[in-house]
Amino acid sequence: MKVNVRVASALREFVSDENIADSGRGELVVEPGTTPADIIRLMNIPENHRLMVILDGSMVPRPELAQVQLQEGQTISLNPPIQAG
Amino acid sequence: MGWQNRILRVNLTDGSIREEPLVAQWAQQYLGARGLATKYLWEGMDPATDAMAPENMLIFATGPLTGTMASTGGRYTVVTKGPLTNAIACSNSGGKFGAELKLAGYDMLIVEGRSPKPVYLLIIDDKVELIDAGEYWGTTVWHTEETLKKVHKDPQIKVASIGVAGEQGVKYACIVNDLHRAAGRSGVGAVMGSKNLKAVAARGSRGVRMKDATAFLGACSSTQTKLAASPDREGLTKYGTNEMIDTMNEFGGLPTNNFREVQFEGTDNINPSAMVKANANGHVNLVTNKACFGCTIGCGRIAHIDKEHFSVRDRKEYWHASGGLEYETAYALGPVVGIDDIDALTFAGYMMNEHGMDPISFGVTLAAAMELYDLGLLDASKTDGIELKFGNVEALTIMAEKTGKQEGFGKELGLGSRLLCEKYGRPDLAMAVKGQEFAGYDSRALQGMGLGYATSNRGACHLKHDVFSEDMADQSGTGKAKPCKDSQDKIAMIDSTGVCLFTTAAWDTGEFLQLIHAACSTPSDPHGDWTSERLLQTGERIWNLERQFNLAAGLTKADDSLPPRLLNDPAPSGVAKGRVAELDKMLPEYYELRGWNADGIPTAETVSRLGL
Ligand code: SF4
Repeated sequence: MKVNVRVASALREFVSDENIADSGRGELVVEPGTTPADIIRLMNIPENHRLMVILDGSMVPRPELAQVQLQEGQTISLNPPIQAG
Repeated sequence: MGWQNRILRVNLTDGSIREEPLVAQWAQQYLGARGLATKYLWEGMDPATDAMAPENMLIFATGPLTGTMASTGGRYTVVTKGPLTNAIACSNSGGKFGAELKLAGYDMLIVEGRSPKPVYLLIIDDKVELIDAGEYWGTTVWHTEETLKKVHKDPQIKVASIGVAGEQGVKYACIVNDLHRAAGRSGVGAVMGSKNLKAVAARGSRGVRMKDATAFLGACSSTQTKLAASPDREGLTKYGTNEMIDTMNEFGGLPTNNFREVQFEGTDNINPSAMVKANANGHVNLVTNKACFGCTIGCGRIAHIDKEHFSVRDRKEYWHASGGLEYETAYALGPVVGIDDIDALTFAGYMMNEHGMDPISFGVTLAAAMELYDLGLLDASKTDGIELKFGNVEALTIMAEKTGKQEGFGKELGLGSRLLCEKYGRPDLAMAVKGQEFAGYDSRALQGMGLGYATSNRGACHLKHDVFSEDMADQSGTGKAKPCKDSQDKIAMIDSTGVCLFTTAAWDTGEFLQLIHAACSTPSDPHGDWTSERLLQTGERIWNLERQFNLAAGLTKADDSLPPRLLNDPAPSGVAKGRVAELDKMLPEYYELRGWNADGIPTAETVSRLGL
């Protein structure tokens, strides 16, 4: 199945897929049952890196990253957490 | 110790310059910088005084850690009554000016009165003089700073000055030091202008004595190590504060088109990736990062504008590198006015620094004007022929310059959003609290931020509380009052030490305690040694004294509010889609936690407990 991935500027240094590293956007073909934690691994973002994950406009709390299963066509967005700017 | 125990008092009306001892008892109760200056302001003037009157005091205050080896220990704070808000203004800045003032031997510079003609103040250790500034009046911050260094034949002199915006009373004029660092908010530059004070130039050669130098060095070393290891610190160093723009956009808290929307489709053109990507001409916006005095973070950005860009094509004077996009600049000169042209944003940012204006207030005021234009309440005949439409890049660059120079419609933009929107019959369109414009966080998505904005003593501000993790975890208003109140107190303490708030990427109260304890504790202190509890209570005391100043200035509970758009119009998208700001739920709980009555007035018990 296909899912869309969006990666914030501050995380793109980890990403090996050149298109996603360049534009921060991409479409991935993944197995059913894939979780946000799997996508984070696929993007080469270190485990325990500071992250804010949004799936189709809803926050995914860290404890649920390995539990939630992605659905066809969903958009997962990986970002640094909110802090003062 | 930590303090120089000397303050400099300058009366511009009669030209007198006096040194006086620091009131040690106040320093023990209010630390320095924000807190101590607030105490001097409270004791020294009537809060009901007009902000632009000679009787208003303008205080440049350092903290006990300013000018020391503590990481980021170069901060100073300007405290006065602000013309944008008619409330207390406390605006802090980095760069190197604050450290230089401290190393010249002063904890604080208090400016009173009004000079009969433009002057600048020169401080070289004990040599302090007021000098005619007639030739600088009407010129820019950049010109003033560069010329003063030449005239005094010392490139190491540090200068804090105002541009034409400050001279002419732009309500959000700031004081700029070191070319692109600013005491940016609430109009402190307009107060300086009202006093006919163009600049303060400082050079110091003293040290700062510590209570226990060995312990202090140890504390500096261990706290720096902690900062160096922090991933949040690393993010600030690598990407600057603008790393937030992607996060806030995805979250749905990025105010766009005067807060009509909360997500902006153009962030890819102005985010940290765009700053390092070559454009079609091969031009890369970002030049390098930059650190303030003693800072081991270096969040500052230095950028330059593509020479082919329309804003500078025939203007070589803007081809050099200068202050680049930080999150608040990017938001306020970008999404909130619907613009994603990185060179235009950088140019507008140059205008803010060169002429001395707060980019947040300018951008949000321009956004309000664009909405008035969109509604037909303004038209091109009133805006110098410029179409003030959301997304109009030229409207941004031209109006930034006109406002800085106080020309044409720029004069109206210099009023700030509250007065501008009142003038055109739609006060509800001003995205501000107490007259001060919002930073780049929408309070429908970040409820704790909304409470912090509403209750901030200096008007809407994102840097006086820290409820970010709670707001990220839960988009409701439940449970936000306590972290908001506690973080306000903690930050009031941090702002009073002389180090930068961004150290909280790695430090908590314990790290500040290590530094303050080694720097400041004295056996003769009747309050005893510094403890975490004492530090946090100091912050609470400062917060409540600021509140008392505002109440005495005439502010009331009604000023602890948010604009109708945030209270009534649901967020159109993002994680908080459908939500409004739940201030009505949070505010009563907040007042109770503060020990204030239902009208937001500190109770007698609170006043007594804090020794106010
Ligand atoms: S973190 Fe940034 S703002 Fe703070 S002192 Fe360092 S460079 Fe200056």
